[in-house]
Amino acid sequence: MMEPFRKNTGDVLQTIHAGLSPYVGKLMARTAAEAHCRELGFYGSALDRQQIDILLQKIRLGLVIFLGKEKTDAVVQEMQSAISRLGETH
Amino acid sequence: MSRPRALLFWLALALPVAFFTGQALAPEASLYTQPVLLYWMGAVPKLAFGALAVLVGIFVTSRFEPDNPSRLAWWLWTAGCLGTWVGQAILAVYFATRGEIAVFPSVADPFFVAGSLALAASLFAFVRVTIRSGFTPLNATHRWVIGLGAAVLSTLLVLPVLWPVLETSAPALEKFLLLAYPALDLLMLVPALLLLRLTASLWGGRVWTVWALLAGGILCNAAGDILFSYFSGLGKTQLEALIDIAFLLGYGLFAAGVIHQRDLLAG
Repeated sequence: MMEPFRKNTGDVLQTIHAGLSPYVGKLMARTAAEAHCRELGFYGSALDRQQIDILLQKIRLGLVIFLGKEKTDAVVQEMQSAISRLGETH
Repeated sequence: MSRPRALLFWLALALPVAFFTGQALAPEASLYTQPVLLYWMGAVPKLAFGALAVLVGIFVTSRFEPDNPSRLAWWLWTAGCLGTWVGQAILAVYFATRGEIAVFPSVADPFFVAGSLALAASLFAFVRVTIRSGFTPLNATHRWVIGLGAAVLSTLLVLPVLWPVLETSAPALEKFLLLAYPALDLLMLVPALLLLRLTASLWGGRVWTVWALLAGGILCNAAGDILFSYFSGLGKTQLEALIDIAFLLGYGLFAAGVIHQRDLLAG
């Protein structure tokens, strides 16, 4: 059985922000993560695994234009791992 | 780029720029009365930075996957750099074999024109992919307003150069080229300014550094072309040093930009 996977939205956005900042700057990292979340209709205080995957995939599609596939995959993988390490929420 | 290499790179650019700044300030100094030294001090760094931009550009292009829209943009940019590099190399051969400085018009001009066209096309492609990335807060209306603003600003910069050239009695081909270079710059300035604005929100990130260097290179090369057309058309050669400074910075920033992109892909 799959383990429960629900992370606090603010913490997830903060983690994505930290992963994106070195490449797209602090301002755009914050703006992009929040804007993608809104676009996808993720307004809740927590995100499940599927929502996080969709959000990261959306970010990946933009980032790949600047960083290429290989580097983008590494950056997204790093963000994914950091999000997995976040504590569970209800 | 490692810190010592970066230091070496910027030093290699700063030295010839300082040399020609000295010429602009004190053109009568004995150091600046030797045409051979003057020529090679300008040509060698331009050729070296140009070659670096082309070689690293080929590497960067190859690192983007075939279906990545950035690949076409980088391919066009590298082709543009190659065109201008071939033009510079031809001028260097003219000087080495015949002792002629800045032959105009010459066989080099088709390469400069083709190179400029490819660079302009690459900039439009870069604008397109930046918009597509979604990492820009500007909507379509904002982009049109900024694009039109950039077009007006570029026209205001270029037009004062075009009119005096139009009134000179230079041969038709020469006049055409003297008009073509600033017109091509106009074509490049619009996407370059648009790109700078689009990517301003990426400030502080490594992507921004790449675009800022490339757009800076375009602005410097445009300044060099405008000065060249102005001085050549009107026969004012006393400020040639400024043309050298503009082109040296242009080629140097091009090379720096593509090296940063390589580091971004590989690091």
